[in-house]
Amino acid sequence: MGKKILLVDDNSVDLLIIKRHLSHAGYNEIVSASGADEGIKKAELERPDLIILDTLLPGSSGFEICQTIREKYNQTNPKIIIMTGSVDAVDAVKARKVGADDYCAKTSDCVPLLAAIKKLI
Amino acid sequence: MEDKDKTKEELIEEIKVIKARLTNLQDLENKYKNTELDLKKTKEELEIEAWGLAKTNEAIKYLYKELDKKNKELQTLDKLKTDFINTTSHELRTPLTTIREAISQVLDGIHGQTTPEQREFLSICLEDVDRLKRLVSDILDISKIEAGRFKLIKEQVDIVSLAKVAIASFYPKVKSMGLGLRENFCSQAAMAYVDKDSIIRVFANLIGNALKFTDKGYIEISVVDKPTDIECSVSDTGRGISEEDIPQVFGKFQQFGNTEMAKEKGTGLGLSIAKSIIELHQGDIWVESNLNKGTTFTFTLPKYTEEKQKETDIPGV
Amino acid sequence: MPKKILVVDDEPNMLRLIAVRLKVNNYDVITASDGLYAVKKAHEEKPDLIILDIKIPVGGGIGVFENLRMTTDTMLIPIIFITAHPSEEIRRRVLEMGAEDFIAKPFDADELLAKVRKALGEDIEKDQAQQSK
Repeated sequence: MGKKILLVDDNSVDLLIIKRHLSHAGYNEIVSASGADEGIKKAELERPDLIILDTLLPGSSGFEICQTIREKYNQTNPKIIIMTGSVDAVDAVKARKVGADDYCAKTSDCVPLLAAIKKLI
Repeated sequence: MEDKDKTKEELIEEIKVIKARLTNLQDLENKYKNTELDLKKTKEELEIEAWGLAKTNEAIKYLYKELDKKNKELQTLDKLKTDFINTTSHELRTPLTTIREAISQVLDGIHGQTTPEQREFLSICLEDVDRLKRLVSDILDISKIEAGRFKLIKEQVDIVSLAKVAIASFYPKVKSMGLGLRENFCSQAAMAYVDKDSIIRVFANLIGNALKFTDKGYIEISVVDKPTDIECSVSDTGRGISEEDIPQVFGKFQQFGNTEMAKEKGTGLGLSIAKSIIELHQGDIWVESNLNKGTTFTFTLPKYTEEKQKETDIPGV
Repeated sequence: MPKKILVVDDEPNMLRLIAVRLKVNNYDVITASDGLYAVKKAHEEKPDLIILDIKIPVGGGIGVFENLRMTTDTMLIPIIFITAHPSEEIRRRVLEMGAEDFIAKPFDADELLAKVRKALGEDIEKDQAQQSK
């Protein structure tokens, strides 16, 4: 599909699982970052069409990264999805307020994530 | 003349009133515009909240499904662990039985006469088959303990009776080694809530161990009734354990000291298993030793009370 | 008259070894290596004792056991089970079902012979014979 996706998640196993599901779904241009700073840097360098952010990251959060990116660049592009693997970190309202385009659960079958991606790119 | 002036004044007044009313109306219009903006903001916020709630609900539903899935996977893995332990047990024990019996039969002369030399070498085979037997048993027990699958069947038991069972099985050996056997048991019953076979095993492991490292003197087994525990110990007048070896005593596959002197090679797992069994019973086990003076292994078992029974009835733990 | 023992095990080596050991101790031995044949032989030969491995094809040891318990000519034959898992549960279950005894692999000849004698009541006979002297 030619769309570039940036994945930011500090859990290497989760990254692998998501990458696998994404490439099966036809998204082959995937870059990843495991921390907030790396994520923001890569967002600038790689210019992805979509950024997927995990809510919990060491020393930071998906919400913070989303806010930074929206402030630095553009209010509408790239598209940003915030995903959560833990019910504790459920905060959909916050996601919308920092400018994310969507918010979904992180599951091992990536079904909610793929549905959200389809709607955006 | 007066009418015209009056009317002029009236007009000025009226204009003032109209101006005031106009200002009022403008104020009202502003207030209305502000309220409209506020309403719009509130509406937007409510929309975000509604969106948030919907997304949250959706996420929670998915995450609970995920939790369920992970639980099922864990259960499957757990079962695989048990199946593996059971299958390995069968696969290892079957050939061992065959080997042992075949060698035994030749040694017994069932399949023809054998020369002393042949019997000597066959005996060597038998010794190691028996050692393998014990090793397989011990390894399987350790796997079970570590997988949390070592089931304890607890009942109210007098610990002294368990010690006696273990002692009875070693009595002939102790006598043949020319060693003394002393018993120091408390006068009343030492009741605890334990798995009988496991505790007998602990006694057996400790006594067997003592015999391995004692050439002369005696082995003493004691069971003492203390305020909150039953304290048991196995002492010997043997070689003792050096200070640097003591920390590793309960480690796996530990054979310390001069093991060539030991008449029957152990598996190195006996003390580790004993420790695990005592810990599964919420007891303690430790060792005191002096080189060339002797060694004492002591363990405690919590005394039997009704609360203890309810407390510790946790399957597999 | 020598007592007759039916030995059932799907491992040919094990079967042969047990058979030899028993014959040397003056027992008549019949063998079977699956459940179907075991049941057939039990009815035909009416052995005094059956030594039965739990894991055998066609019904398993337990299947054979249940089958034999249902017919009058075989229901009273004592049965000793052989198993590789001496787990408390299996032990208890089998003994509750009415098996005579249990032997766990690996076993040695003495153990097996002692259990065979006990199951055939031979120890008792010896004791009684001694007592009457």
